Amino acid sequence: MKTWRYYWRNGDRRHVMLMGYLFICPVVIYSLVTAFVPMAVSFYLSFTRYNMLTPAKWVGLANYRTILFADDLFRTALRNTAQYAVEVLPANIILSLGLAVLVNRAIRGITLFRTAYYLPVVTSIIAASMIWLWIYQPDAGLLNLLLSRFFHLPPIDWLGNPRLALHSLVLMRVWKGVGWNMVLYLAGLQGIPGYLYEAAKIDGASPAQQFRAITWPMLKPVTYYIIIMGLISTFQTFGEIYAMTRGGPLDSTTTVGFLIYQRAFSYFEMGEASAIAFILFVIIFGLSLLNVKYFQYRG
Amino acid sequence: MNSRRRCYRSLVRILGIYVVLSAVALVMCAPFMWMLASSVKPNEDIFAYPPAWLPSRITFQHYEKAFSHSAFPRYFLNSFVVAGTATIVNLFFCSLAGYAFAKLDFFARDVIFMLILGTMMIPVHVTLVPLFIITKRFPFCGGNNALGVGGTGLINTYGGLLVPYLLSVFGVFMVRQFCATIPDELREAARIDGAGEFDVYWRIMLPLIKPVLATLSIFVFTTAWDDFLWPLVITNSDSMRTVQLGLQVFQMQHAADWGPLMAATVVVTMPVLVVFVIGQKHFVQGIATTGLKG
Amino acid sequence: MKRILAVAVFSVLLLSMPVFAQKTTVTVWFAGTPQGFMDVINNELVPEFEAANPNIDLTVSFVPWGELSTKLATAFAGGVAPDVFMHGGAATAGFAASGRLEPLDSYLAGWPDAADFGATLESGLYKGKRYLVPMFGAGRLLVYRADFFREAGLDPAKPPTTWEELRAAATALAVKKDGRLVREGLDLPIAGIDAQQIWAGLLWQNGGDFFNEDSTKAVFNSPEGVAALEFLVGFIHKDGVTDTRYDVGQSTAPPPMALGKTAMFFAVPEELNQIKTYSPEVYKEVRVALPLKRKAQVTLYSFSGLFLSKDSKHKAQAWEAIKFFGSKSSLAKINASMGTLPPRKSLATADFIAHDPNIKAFVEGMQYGKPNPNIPTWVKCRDALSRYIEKAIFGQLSPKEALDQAAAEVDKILAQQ
Repeated sequence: MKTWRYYWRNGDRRHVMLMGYLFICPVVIYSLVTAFVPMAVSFYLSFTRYNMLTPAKWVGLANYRTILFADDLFRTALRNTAQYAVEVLPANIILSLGLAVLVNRAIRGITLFRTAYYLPVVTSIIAASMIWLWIYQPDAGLLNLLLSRFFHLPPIDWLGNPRLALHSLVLMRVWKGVGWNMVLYLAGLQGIPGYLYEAAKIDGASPAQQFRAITWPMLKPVTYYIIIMGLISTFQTFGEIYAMTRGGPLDSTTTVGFLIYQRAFSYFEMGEASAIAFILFVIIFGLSLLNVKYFQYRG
Repeated sequence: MNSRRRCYRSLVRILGIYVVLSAVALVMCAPFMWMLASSVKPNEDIFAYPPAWLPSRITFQHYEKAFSHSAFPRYFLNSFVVAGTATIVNLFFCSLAGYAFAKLDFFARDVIFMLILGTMMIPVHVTLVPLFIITKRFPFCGGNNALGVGGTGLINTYGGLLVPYLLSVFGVFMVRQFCATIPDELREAARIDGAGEFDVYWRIMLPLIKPVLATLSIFVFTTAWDDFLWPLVITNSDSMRTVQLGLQVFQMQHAADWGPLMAATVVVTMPVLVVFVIGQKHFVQGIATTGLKG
Repeated sequence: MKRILAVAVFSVLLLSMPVFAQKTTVTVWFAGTPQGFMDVINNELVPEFEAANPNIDLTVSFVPWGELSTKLATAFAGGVAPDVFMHGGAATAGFAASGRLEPLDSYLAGWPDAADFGATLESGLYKGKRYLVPMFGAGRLLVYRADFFREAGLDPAKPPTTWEELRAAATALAVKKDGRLVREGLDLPIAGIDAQQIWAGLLWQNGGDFFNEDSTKAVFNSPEGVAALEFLVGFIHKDGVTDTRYDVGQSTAPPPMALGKTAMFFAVPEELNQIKTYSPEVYKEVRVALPLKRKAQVTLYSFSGLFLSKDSKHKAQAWEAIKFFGSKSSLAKINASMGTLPPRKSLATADFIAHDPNIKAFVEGMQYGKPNPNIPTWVKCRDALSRYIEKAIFGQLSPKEALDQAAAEVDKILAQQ
């Protein structure tokens, strides 16, 4: 990293730096008040026993010790969460990029299709969960009805089978999230200058070659964004778990996000919940840093 | 002859694209269509088995029930105020900061950015209580003195409702990523022409990142509109509640009032869709601008 | 001089005016958001109370059940808790142990009407003190379809009364086609709170209980408890008359009974109301049975009601509000609006109950009702127990193993208190 002096000593660089600070100043102040301070408080609470009804009591590292060494459920939750992220992220990226390429054309009625793909994003998670509960219902659900009518399959208990439940939730999450990433990719595609493709065509590049040589590299910053956002949101997954499975059956869908909620607001163990949150933080932060290495771009 | 065949082939291609587009649309929309269908079914049709897509007769009784006595108009107003304000504030400040993080070189830039992004990595459930207390102790509001003591601060006010959405770190990140794709030469050229940093942002960057700003608006509006937990915790009176809280009316401990719930969900989803339709129009403008660039 | 005096007197008068007109604001948070319930409170009861008590302003809010704890915890942590709030009786111990509740015994002593509540007041009993004025209740009773009974050659007027009869009926009612169950004899929840609650009923019927006298040790892994779980699991694994359909989420739809997918299930009144609204034809065939009897005739009934916050600055006025909402006429309106069970004995003959024989059966069943144990860590113990019951239902552990392991875990939780 360049030193402070590097910027300060040169009049031009100093000016740019000061302008930079001015531009980010609102965001920094806002984050300080609404994010850093709550985070610091919660970090402090992770070393306490705190039920929100009586003052917090310092317990040192006890919460971390319990969670890391004597909490089977935490380990299960971590495994489930990782599994969930590993399935959701790639599926989401591939499908959303495909959709974006598909709708990135000025043909009649394209707005309608784009809106259709975006529809799941705007359906509130609670309402979406209720509809999917209906879809997945083993004996009257829409999905089983279709499968039995067209493929004569016996009813499948999508959420009741411990080996299937998490994957069923993945399917719903991809359905819900893919439209949003499509929009991002679409915005990214629109930003690729058309002359690049013209030049490639003149050179005789096939569409596949054009994609590999132009589209994918040009979309790298967007993909980076989608991966980081995806990591952060999938690792914190809570809404659909809460609404659909409550972590079951047999803890097969207990995620870390759900565990944190449960400890905090069902058991009133805010200290332990905070400790889990910070362990999760370290994991997400670490994974994000790994990504920075792969997606380094010229600043 | 040749041209007619080419014409024929492009027609088939277009048709193929439409078939694929429609097939995907069908899958993506099916759950929502089911919701829409349920919302106009008479009660006895809703749980009919085997399920039927089309209602035996169309009824708007659920819409009437959902919107007759509850304070939904007020909820809509509140949600619009919150989501609208958040969108406008975000558009300006996120793009400003995102641009700076991407294009201006300053000391500790990437470290500051990672730190801010890091705040997104803590689940909301553990920061909820501290944030609530900060909102309550906001100085000079709701009867509070300079130290934030004495009153209820921003609890049960629009200000309080806005607290978590006012500036989206994800938004800053988004703008930063998209600005990174724009060549530095543009900025440098403008600077040589004597434009100030703010001028460069306002006159050169903003028009170039229009599709991103559209995306950002859609994102912020959707997030603020759909959130449920914060409005629940921060509001106490009916006059401050938002639409997502209104939807709760139809859910009980062990069961749900399906018809009205579906009807209300359909209506509550509409404004966000409208915002999306308006926003995505700007994607096309993006093409035009980037075309000029080449 | 005179003038100055006059001005002084006048200003003193003026300043003291607001004191005379001062109104006390009492904040009440209700749990649950059904429209009918909110309408009754907002449009009828609150105006009525404020007219009768011109010096008290009532500010009421309605909090969805699912988020009630979150909202209360943040409010207490932030020092802005309401004067009066509603919660389930099982929440008493947690809040009382943290010193956030005002004991109501002395208040109740001055309320002659309180005797009408009878045993339902015990829902809010913790360490010998009472904290809760119940508003409405729910219980779990066996619900069955008369048409399926007739179809199977059973008499719909004689529902099962013992474990053996229940098992025989479930076997007779189950319908199989190509080796697959197309209609369950008895639908059982296989996970979560619901499974735990149904097992709790069987545990008590079999003469067992959750904890020892002073709630320091789990005793539910007694032979009685194990037998109850074996009985429950038997429907699925031995008799094959129950499907393992997983439904713990928000609200499952459609209810299997409405679809004709099950002949019997253990229901709470809310679930009955849903069938009544959405499948009125089916509802005509729906009947409710009184609790089963083995060593005891008992089932779970729980009551939700109003608590008085220890932090309230206007306890006297807050108590007036509680008393008002707990009055016979208020409770009649509240319970009629939701089809819930009124906690007052004198309301057992109210109109909305007499109209529906099924709700009447639920009210009649109240005399056999028993609440959840009131210990501060109940939710955590209950969830641990539910997880092990689930393991037994899925066949991962034998009923005995499951309950022994659950007891070990619950003992650890109890020791932490």
